[in-house]
Amino acid sequence: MFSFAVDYFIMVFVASLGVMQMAASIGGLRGLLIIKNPLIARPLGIVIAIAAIVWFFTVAERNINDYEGGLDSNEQGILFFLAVATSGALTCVLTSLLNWQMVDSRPRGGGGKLPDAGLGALRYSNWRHALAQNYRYLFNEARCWRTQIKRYFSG
Amino acid sequence: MLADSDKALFLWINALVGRAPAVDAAMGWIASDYLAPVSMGLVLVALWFIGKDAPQRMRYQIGMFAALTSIALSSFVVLVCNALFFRPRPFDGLDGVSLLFYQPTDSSFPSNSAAAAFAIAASVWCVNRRIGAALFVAAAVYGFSRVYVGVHYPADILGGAVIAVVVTALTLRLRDLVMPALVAVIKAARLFAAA
Repeated sequence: MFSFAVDYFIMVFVASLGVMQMAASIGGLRGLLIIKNPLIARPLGIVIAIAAIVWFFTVAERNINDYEGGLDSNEQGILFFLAVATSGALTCVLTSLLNWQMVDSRPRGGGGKLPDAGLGALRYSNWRHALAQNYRYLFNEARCWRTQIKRYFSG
Repeated sequence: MLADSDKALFLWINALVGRAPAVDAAMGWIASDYLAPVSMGLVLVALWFIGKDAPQRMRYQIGMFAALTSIALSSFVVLVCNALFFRPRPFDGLDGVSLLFYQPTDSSFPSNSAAAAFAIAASVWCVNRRIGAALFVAAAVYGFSRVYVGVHYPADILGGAVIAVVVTALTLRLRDLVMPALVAVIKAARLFAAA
């Protein structure tokens, strides 16, 4: 069961890395992309996801009952969530390093244009910068914290 | 009468086994407990990121939560149905079944796997028609494969699909009750640039 669970985790982890690249490319989230060119990023993401699934099914027999070494639906759900979360965290860290120079240089605060909140910020900056910008904006630059928090929680 | 038709349809579909080894192998993969659930789960992951702007992203992310809720509620309804009514699996109740799968021991009707697949498809269809339609096709193929490999009657799949669609419709009707909590979760995730 343990090796089956590890294989399942690896499959979902790798496949979701590919899916996130493809989806980030479609959503225009350049800060999350390892390869910026959509003509490469999208097919590559799909290929990575398919390769992970093919690998899972070819290395061993997978039609196994849960009490004979397979995974029941609860175990599948938990492992799926953990694998996707790990994959998301790795994507954020990796792309922050690869896209280190990608920062949102638009004016913010005061009378300037406000930066995008949430995933929208990743259109113009890497995840590390978007995160730092969120907290800097919330705790240091906001003249009125109620107004700024409202902005982050609206839309 | 209906049960006889169901069995006849099952035997007709299951009789296709052995005609083309490549199709048998493909059906074995598709019917597995892992391929369709993982693929559909990955579509939900993609749905989280593909919104073009904040309102569309929010709609898709709420759709993802609706899918998770529908899966949980559909599974619960299937569990209750299984507890009330036990239908033996085709390989237990019929002669000459070609089985390309392990032998599940729970009730055949309604199909929990079909319910989960159709719950995802129905939920996604409500926020994106194109992806939702593709998922409905995928769920139907998944259901067909479960009949092909010999673990479900067609009516089991149909029952699971009906439960999923009804539960999803109810979930969407009741979503106003939980919407503030969902929106708060998504907006809190924005602080981490994650939603």
